[in-house]
Amino acid sequence: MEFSTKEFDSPIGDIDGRAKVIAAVALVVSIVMNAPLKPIEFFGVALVLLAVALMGRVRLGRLFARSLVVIPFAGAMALFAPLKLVESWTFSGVQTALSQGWPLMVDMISVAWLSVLCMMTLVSISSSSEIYAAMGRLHVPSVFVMLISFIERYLELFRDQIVTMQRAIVARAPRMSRRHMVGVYGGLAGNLIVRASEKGERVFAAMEARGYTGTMPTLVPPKFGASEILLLGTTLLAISAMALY
Amino acid sequence: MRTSFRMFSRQIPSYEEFSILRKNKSSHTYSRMVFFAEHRYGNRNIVVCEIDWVKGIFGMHIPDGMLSTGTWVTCWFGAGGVFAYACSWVRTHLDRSKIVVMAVLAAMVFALQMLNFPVAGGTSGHFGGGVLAALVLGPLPASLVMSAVLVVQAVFFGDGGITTLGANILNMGVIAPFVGWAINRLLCKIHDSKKTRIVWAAVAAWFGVFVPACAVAVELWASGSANFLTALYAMGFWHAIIGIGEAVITAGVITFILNAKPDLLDDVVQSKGSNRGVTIVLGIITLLAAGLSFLASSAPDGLEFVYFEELGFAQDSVVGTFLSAPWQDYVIGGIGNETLAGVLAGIVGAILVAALGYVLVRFLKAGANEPFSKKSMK
Repeated sequence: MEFSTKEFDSPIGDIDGRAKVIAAVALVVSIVMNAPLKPIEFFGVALVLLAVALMGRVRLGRLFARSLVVIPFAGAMALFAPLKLVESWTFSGVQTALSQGWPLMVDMISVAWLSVLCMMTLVSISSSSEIYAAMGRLHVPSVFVMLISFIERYLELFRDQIVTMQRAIVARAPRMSRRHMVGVYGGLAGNLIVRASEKGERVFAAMEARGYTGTMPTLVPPKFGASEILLLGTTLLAISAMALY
Repeated sequence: MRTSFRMFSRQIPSYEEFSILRKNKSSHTYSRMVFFAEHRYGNRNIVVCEIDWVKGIFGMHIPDGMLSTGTWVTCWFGAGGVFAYACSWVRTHLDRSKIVVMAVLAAMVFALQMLNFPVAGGTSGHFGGGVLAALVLGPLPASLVMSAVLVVQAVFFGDGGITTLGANILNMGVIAPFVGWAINRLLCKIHDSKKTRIVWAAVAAWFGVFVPACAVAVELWASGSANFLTALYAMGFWHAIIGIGEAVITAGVITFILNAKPDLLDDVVQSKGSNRGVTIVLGIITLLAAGLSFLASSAPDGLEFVYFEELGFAQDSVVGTFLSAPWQDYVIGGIGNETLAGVLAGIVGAILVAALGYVLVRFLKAGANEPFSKKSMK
């Protein structure tokens, strides 16, 4: 389970997390607000992201593959768009609507993909702890930041437990019916909840014994210098270009 | 079906073997059982096209670009309000040890979303967990837990958009836990026993899937992205079926907890029984209704129609006679985007009315709390 794909230190990776998060979110909002994107806008933003990824020494193939995750989601929802052009619910009516409405579908999918590419680039050039620290410094409630950081910290543990339990089910009841299986999943999940609540209490006791004060420390020092301002300025320019074009 | 059962009796294959096996349909079920959990996000580039395509269809995570500006801004306001209140509630009502337990449970809900079950026609649904979190933690902590899960999914895994995060939180992090919790609580008031609690939990879980799915349809329709009935049918129909799986799993969880650690559920029933949850839900609905004011018809209302069009009064004769409103036609001036201006005007108006109402109620309450009323003093 990988939250971040950051593998190398790079000039762009060293920029403060706050600047990176603000730039990424601003770019996504701008992409969405400027939809439908013209081809030049689409390729312009994609090229900017490609440049950022190259500067961040990110594996491009991996980044591209991760960004494709949105296609099934966006594609399914975008299917609705041409259907609103249907005048009569006959085969030819639907066919006509689809032939006329496919640009709508393409617009929706391109915006969704570009937005995900933007977030995946952010995640690729930043470590998860850097993003949590940035969220904290951007005044996201500490309770919430803690919840998110705990998801990463304990997800591996629960994932392993679920996989182990699933294997145990497969090993012990190979011919179970689907209906029965869903019921067994309920027991499995219940077992996990009880374990999680008990583990949570033990975790807190252990953390408090090690001096936990309610906030997770980070090794990334806060800084907001020329490189951060440059990144934000470049983002602002890109957004302005999209808005004014 | 038989083929898939034979699959289960096999020794668990390696990933290379699985890559060959997944070519046929029967292996799909098997893949969901064992491999989905291992590869869901880890090697997404490999499995996304092979496995996840079915989950994408009729999924509830709305990606960027699907909602109009008016809709996603409105949803952000609704979700943000609940989020802020939930954060302050958790900070004031739960001690640090409970918050850590909540955080561990958040990780668990995230992990439980790996539990996929077959639905129909080769599609499958995955466990949501919003209602379950509400039953175990209470609605406000549950909405925080679900928000955290959704933020992680959107930022790190591209499940759901950033602009649409408000809508996703509203659907899966607010509507699902609150609707499920309210239904469960209502039914528990009608009849409360160990057996009925399991049934009520299942009913609540079903509604906790179905109602948010309908909310997604409404949001898509409000954005002009889909025909209302098409979206409602597609989302409602499939989620009515997925809801059955969610209901069965939730019932199983509640059965297990009632047998193994019943105090986990009792704490919630006793401690989170205030009316604040209802107030919050009503507040969200009000804000949403205000925010969706851009959908209102631009045709004149009844009085305007009679006054200006039937009786023939000129509009200019009225304008300036009375005090001029700061935001005429429910649009904040100075904002270029008319839809956004209308949405903001609606939301600010609703907040102002709520604030006035609050002051009025406080004023009346202050009088009511006095030991003797003024009438009795005379």
